[in-house]
Amino acid sequence: MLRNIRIALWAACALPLLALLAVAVLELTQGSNGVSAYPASGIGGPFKLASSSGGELSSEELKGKPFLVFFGYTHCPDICPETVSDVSTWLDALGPEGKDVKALFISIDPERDSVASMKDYLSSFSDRIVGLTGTPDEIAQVAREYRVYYAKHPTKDGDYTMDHSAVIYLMDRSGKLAGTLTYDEKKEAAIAKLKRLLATA
Amino acid sequence: MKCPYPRIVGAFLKALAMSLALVATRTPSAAETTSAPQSRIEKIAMTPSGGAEYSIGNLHITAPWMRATPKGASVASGYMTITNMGSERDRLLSIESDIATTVEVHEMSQSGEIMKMRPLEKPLEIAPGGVVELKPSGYHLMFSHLKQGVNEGDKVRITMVFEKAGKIEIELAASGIAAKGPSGAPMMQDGKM
Repeated sequence: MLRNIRIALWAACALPLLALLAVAVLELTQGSNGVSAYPASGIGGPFKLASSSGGELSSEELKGKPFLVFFGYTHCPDICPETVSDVSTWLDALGPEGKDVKALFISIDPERDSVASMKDYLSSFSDRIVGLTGTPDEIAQVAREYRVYYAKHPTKDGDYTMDHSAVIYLMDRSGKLAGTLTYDEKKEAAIAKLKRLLATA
Repeated sequence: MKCPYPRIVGAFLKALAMSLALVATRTPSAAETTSAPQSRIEKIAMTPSGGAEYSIGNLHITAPWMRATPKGASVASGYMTITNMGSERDRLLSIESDIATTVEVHEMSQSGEIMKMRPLEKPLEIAPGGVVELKPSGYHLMFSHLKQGVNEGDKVRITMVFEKAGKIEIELAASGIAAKGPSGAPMMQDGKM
């Protein structure tokens, strides 16, 4: 009896240590994906991808202009169209002030998202949203640069869905991360953030 | 020998017990079936839902809607609220529509900033007295391999088969591409329904 109590007490004693260990392991494993907390300076990098507006778009061409970047895929029925239409609404609300702001919708499903299908898809939204796609390697690289997680999840009918980060990055004129937006951001808050982005030199 | 940090252990156990209690009392995530008090059911029945309302057996379906699809889209999602007025659980066994090859219930979930979409492994359950909301960022009907696009104002017909209530044909009213909820329904500004 006494022995059992002692074991229970020692088990209780070990609990906080185990919890600490679990948190540390989680942090480490998540960190290696680049999924969790990111250093503000580590987001973004050079890219050159096939553009829905024709030809290629490279990060070089965006120098000196603020832009938005988000990742998604056109076979996504819920979050992606919502994100694209929200971004579209925000850009429209900026009016002529924001005419230079481009939003880049980068496909994390390059197998299914061709330039043509992205062009079609985006024709339903603001023309300031540019769809970018590329080879699986090119996409993997740009996703790494933006610390975006994505993974294919097969479904039983041979189809698949994509798990992916749904954050919208605000990049300033120097190509550095200036802030983020989420797909469910309130319109006023989003526009305020975009105006701040425009105001930065 | 004694545990060298009895206070920490005490505080930790207390915090653990409190968080367990919190989890236990917390209502299931928005998309899950929640037991609805009577007043909630009445309110739903009276709310102008902006769309048709349907009843079959003990089930009451309100505000079936979907968004118009972007050009060339191959998928779409549909939403509605299903209330079970009966005393037995019901399950949604199958959904069919002429506009898509398959229609399934999928669940959208978010962990951190990562979005996941999964087909339900078991049929969607509607508990006795419960309400299941199919809504953006939660459960939704996933239309795959669309045979045609959906335009604002369209009425998309679907057939749903419930285990107890049986088969019902309903129409989903298509809102605009940027809609956050069924058109005509009282909408929270910018918010999710």
